[in-house]
Amino acid sequence: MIEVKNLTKYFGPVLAVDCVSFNVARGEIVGLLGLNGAGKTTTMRILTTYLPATSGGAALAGFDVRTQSLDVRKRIGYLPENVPLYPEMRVEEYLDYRSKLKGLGRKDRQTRIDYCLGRCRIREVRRRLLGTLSKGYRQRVGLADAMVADPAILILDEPTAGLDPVQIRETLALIKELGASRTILLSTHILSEIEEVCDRIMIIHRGRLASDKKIADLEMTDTVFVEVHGPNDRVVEVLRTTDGVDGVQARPFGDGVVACEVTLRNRDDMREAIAQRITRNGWTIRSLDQRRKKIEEHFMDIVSTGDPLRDKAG
Amino acid sequence: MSSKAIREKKDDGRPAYHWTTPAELSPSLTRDAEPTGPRLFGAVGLALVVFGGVALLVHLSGRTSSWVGPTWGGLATLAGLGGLLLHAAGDSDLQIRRAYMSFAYLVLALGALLSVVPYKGPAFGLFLPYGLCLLLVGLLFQMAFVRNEVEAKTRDYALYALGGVGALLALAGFVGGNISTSFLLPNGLLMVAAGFVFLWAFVGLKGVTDDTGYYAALGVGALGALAALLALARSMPHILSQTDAFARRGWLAGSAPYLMPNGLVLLGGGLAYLALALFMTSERPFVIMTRRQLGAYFYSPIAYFMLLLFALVACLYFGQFVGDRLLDPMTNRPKTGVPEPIILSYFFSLIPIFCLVFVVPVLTMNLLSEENRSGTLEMTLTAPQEETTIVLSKFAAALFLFMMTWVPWGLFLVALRVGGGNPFDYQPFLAWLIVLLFTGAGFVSMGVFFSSLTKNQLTAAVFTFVGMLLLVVLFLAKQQMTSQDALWYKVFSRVSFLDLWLEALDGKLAVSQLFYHLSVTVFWLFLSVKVLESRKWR
Repeated sequence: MIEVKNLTKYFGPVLAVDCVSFNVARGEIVGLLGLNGAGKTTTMRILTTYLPATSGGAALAGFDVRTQSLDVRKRIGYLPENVPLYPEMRVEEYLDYRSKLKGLGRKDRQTRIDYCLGRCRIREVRRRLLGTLSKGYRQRVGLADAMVADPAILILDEPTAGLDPVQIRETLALIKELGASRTILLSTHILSEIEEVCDRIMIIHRGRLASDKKIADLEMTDTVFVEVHGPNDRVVEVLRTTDGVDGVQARPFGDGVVACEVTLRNRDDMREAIAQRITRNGWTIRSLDQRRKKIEEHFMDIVSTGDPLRDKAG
Repeated sequence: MSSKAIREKKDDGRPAYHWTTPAELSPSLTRDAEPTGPRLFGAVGLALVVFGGVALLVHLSGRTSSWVGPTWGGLATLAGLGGLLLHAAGDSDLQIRRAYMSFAYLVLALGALLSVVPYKGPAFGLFLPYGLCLLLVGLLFQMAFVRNEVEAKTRDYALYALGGVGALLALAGFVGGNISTSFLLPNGLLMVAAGFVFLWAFVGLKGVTDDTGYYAALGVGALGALAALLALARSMPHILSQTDAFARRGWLAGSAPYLMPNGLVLLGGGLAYLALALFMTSERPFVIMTRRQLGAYFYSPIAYFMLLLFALVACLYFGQFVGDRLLDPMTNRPKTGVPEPIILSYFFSLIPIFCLVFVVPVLTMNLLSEENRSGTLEMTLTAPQEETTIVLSKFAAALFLFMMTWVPWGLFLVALRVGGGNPFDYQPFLAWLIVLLFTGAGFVSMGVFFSSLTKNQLTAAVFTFVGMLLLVVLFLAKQQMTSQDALWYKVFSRVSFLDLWLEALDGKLAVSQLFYHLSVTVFWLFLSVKVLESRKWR
């Protein structure tokens, strides 16, 4: 449904999006993660055809964002980050206006507006002026607007920003339900939300796509954290050659202790095997712990490094 | 030993996972800001209405007050009603909005009663001015109430009252106008016009997504089409009898002329109703966006403020104009005959031109700049809409309001002719209206362009104001030139809109000059579209 190929965007001399490529299939809910200014919103704006890419391209539902922009816009629902609304309009009026702009027929309009008012829980404010709504309600009006024309693709820029915990839960449930029949690309800062609704996460860092993994894959592997009193190189060598170990990152302490982060190939409990290998060499263990890496740690790993590709190359 | 009063709570073993969302209680619904401003306006307005109303009643009872005459009384009542209206629109408190609703019903009923009751004269004798004025006041207050009311049923009743009055006015105007010429002018015409406004308000507030609103709009269109066709059918016999073929055979020889003025008035009214129906029911993006922009003007005080200010300026200016031109300074009595060209001296004066320079920036300053600033432009451009449609809809709405601001000026001229009984050469006025439309399109499009450049309304306003001033200065600079053969003199004469005004007010319509202004309009609009599109090149 969404195909992005080598998408690059410069704002003057500033490189906002750097050669990003990904695909999103029909019925997939993909979370876009990244720090502020990482390039999430710019990517979304390019996909909604509001901004053109400097180079590279994207196609939504088979239509090119640059040359078939109207066809793309007919098939997407977009919720921008700050939900701009006309303050003098009433909620109902606004949804009516937007559904007309999106080409909904008169008969469908009434039903769809009614459905969206109910689903986004804004029925009680439908006669209120948009200018007097709180952030949470504005966000939900924006979401209702995005889904009013029943688009095949939803692009949601921080759909839960400003919502209270109950509303967040509601909105996520709604997104999950919508995702059953639609393609959804959403961005957020809240990592637990991503875990709850998304099938896949993409992390954008400094304009580049630093990670693109399925949630299931991320949760497949565990990591063992071990602190060993022994020679740095040897310890690393021994751990790396243990069965079931994928990789080792070592950080020597000053007092002859080396702290190792051992990435495993699967979720088997490797603590005893590792302890045996170490004690067999006559070294002592100061601490040993096996943990499942959470998305948050995965995210922090990526954003705390510098340029991901350069680091990898180095 | 434990107290008997304390019982151990038994765990019923039911886990808490059947969790359902509780009813929304969180304080995320913000309370409306306390409408202090509107309440202040309301209080002052009420005081003024009482003050002015008493003065008017004293005057009507035949006594004259030495310190408050009917003019001041009328002005105070008008200003007071304005204040009350601001309050009615800005204060959505239940008690207050329902109080205004009752007031609106009362005024509407009184207006309807006065319109039909034959008091000391024929039926409809009091329609002008009392019935009409009361109905319009009732309409404005009812509209303000409907905007604020949250209960669907009460709102619908209020709307049906408006729709009902509108339908009755329209029917009375069209049917009565077809029966009697003396009824058509002025009562029938005014009924048709007032019915138009009432029905517009009804359909606009009900919305065409709603079945009632939609079919009402179709009904308005059908009535308009019928009236227009009837007017044409009744005008045709005389027109045909004038043709050679009919005249030779003596067909339709005795048919009386109908087109002027009856046929034309009814045809115009019918076409206006038809246009209203098309405008309200159209699903074309351009019309949808124009409707929204007009709504934005009329939902905020800006349109009312501009119209009222212009009406006041026109009123004062007209008073001064009549005093200067039409009264004999020695005797203070009307001069015999009107000094022609009266239209020229009426419009080609400092105050109308100053108003023009002032109104264009006010109407256009926020058109695109505000959309740009608040981000709503992004919302529109990510819906399947083109930049051209957005710019054109903004332009059309602003041009419509621009032309509306001149209505009071025109009405005073009509009053001079009809009420004052001063016939004058009105053709230059028609020529000037056409020129105003074309030059106005140029000014408004310039305003649209400047508002597309910036996110700051004030900057847009200043640029447009300077642009308007330059256009006026061009004319003044040209006047200072000594040689009429100089190239610049010719160029300035072509470019300056005031030269075109002068010609039109003199009764000459320079079509080539109109094309110049049309191309200027296209030029500014094209640039505005390109500015919106420029985000794609940057």
